[in-house]
Amino acid sequence: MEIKSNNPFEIKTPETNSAEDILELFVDVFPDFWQVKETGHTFLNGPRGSGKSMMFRYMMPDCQMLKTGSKACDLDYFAVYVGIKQTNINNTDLERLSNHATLIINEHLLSTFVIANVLGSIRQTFNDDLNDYTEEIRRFYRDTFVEVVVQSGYEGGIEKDCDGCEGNNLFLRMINVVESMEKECKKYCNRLALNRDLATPYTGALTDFVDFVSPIITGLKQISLFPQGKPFYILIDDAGYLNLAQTKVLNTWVSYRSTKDICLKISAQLDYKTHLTANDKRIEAPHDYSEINISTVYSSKTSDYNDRIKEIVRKRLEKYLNLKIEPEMFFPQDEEQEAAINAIAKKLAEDNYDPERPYASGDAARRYARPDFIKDLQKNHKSGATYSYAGFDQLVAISSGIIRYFLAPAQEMFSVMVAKNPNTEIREITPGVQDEVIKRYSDNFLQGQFDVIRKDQGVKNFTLEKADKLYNLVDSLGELFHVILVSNASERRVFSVALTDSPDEELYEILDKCEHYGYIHKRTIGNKEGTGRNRMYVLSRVLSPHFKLDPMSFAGYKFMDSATLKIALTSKKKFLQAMSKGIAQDTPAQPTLFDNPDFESND
Amino acid sequence: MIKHRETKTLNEFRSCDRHYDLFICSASFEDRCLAVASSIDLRMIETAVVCRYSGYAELSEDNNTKLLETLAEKAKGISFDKDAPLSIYDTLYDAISECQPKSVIIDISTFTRETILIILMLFKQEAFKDIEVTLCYVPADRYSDCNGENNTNDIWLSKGVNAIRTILGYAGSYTSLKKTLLIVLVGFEKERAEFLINSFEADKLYLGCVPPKESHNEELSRINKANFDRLVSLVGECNVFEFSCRYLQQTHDSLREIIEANKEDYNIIISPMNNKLSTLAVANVAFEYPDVQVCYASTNQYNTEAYSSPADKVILFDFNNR
Repeated sequence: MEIKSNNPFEIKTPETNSAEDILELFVDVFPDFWQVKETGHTFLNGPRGSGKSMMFRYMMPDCQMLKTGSKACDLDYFAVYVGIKQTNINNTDLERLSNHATLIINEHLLSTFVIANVLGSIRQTFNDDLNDYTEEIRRFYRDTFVEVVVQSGYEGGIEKDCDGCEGNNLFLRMINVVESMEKECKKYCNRLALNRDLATPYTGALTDFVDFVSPIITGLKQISLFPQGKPFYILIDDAGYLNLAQTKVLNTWVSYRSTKDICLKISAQLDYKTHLTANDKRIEAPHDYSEINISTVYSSKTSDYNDRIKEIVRKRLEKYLNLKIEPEMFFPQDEEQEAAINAIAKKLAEDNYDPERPYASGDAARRYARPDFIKDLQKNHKSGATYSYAGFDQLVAISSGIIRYFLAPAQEMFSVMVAKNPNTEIREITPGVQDEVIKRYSDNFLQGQFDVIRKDQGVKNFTLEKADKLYNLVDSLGELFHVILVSNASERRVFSVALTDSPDEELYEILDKCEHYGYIHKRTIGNKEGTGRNRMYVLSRVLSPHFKLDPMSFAGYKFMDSATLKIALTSKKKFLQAMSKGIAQDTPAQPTLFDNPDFESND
Repeated sequence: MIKHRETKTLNEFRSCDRHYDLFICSASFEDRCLAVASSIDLRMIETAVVCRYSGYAELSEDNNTKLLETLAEKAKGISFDKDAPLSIYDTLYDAISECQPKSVIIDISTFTRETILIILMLFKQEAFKDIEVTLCYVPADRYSDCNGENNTNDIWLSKGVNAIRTILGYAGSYTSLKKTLLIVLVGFEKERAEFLINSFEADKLYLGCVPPKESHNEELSRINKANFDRLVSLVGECNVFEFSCRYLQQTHDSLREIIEANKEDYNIIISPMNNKLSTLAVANVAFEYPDVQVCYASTNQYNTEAYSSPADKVILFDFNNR
């Protein structure tokens, strides 16, 4: 049984999309991440679904040729894609190597893997067009490829004669040779893992960056198919899946600064294992590479994230539904609710009118209208009414700078609409469906992975593992921010905590995990004394429906020491008790960029 | 290859007159781990190795003590970390080498699926190829929630994913010339399956479900079906196939059909996420197709308060490890 899906918001792996589809769907985000296209090594960090692979796909020569209407040799750079999957290069058998030439073997595996994928990527893009360059490819094969393979100690036998072989087939032959070098080594690792005899000699080929990767890429670049005098960009996607030794090897390659010929563009889902090289020296930005964190860029007040999503939705509606409408029309807000909030805002503006402080009335309306509305709903909860998270702007805010967090619930909303209205053209997602799906999405976002509900009482310490502590921390912060939202504090729109001291190892590790899973974003903020910076942790807005928070306006933050925050790991109740005095007091408004030039970014 | 030999009640198993040099079992937090050991006539075995996972040492303490008492002076305890496959392999390798058995019976009921596959790979090594291996399995009768109530709608067996890794010895073969195809034998643990599917982003996805007639009981089948439907709705485009929780050959045939149809174009990865019997079928397939990779999503946490109770039967298998 084959299940097909046809939905304008469906998320497809970018590698599987055609260049035509990519060009139709891609929204140019490079003004936000210009370093990716610049010459030089770059690390691109962002949670899963933040658009890294789409950027890489767009940089591939088939997309660039289609976009610019030019030939490959006229492009500004030539990009090849090397996707690291969970287990294609890193496997458990390699663990036996931990004390046994691990760096040498892993560098060989990485070198052959990268070159096989580089050759494969070129072949996939050009296929029989490679035959137009047969003579040059033969020259590369004879003068460079055969030479480096023989020097590597490969004993599988390499056919030196290539006179009867066309360009495309010669590429295939080279891929087979390189993969054979890789397989030979993997078989050795498998034997070693199972027979446990570390004295088993390795007699296969050994390759590395300097004597294998670099000469092959430099040699390939001479072929007139590729842009002359321009670098090859090797797009290494999801490098967090490499093992530690492979990661150190890759960092060593970064440290070579060979950017005239080869630029490494490395993406990771905030899980890159280390920035140490094989010699345990650290590579550093901006000295060795430039670094981008997508969440940081897109969660800043000045980002164009809202416009980017708008463009993505417009393109998808037009391509799949033939609808030329604004996204706000397709995802309408709950008009009744907005009218009620506007009425509260109007009254707040009138009540706070002060001719000597002309901004006071607007400020009060902006700060308190929505929180007051949510508070009123909570007071009258018996009526059954709840705050609606419908509306394009709210959905964008909830997606928290991660494109997938917008598309995934939108996909489900569309499916629900189709199920409710069979044989009807869908021209909008009703506020009720938006609200229902986004609340469920928010609940699942937290509880899907960590639905480990432990009550304060009766917890056996040995069952309270890291997963529970992580859950407790996020749950406690969300609850705290909700309590503040419905309190009488002068600043109720709190979504961040700033730590006044350094977290201990356990708290640090759990906060790190929280960031990896996308529950929080990290920032720094100038300390109260103005003498340095404090760590700040911002709760993901995806969780705002789950904790009944206002996703649109997170402006305040809460100072606390790490000892207090640590209470949240084990007991939400005790944490809220510890914070209750602070809630009664005013919570400082988050400074604007103008107030605090040190402040990196605002929510 | 692993082949079904016979199915017995626990009483019938007790009166069996077969002799084994070594009995290997696992001390788990589940009482199911006691069923075979407490049904063994000690005259049936020479030596016993009781394994336990160090991370669950306190939770399995009672059952470990019971197993060591039951197996008395014939028992030796060993432990390993469930997330250290190499240590599992090495510890078992040493323990078995020490006993130098000619015949072994292994109760796989409460080993993790990963450990079972590692054990099978171990017995295929040159040093152990002459050993006659019998596997036995006690299926779950029913599952209960945290309060011991039989509320299967709320059942969860594990939470979170700690790591996704290949099973030791089952790395398969990867080529950049082919796309990736992932086959998941879906079970109760929908969350683990979803995480795995999302992580691999395979070019082609096959999700296996168990039809009611191939399940051990109706209740388990209902839970599996609900989990499966929810998973399919979450992952988008996929191919669905059926396999059996009871009959190895049927699962083997289902997997073989998919592999044969796709092996020329795809790197194939299988993740067994259903019961231990379907995991044995995956082992058979991996032995037949060494290029196929088998992988495992290790969980963060088991629901130690809500697990299974044993059925009154033991299923026995012969493992021809040559």
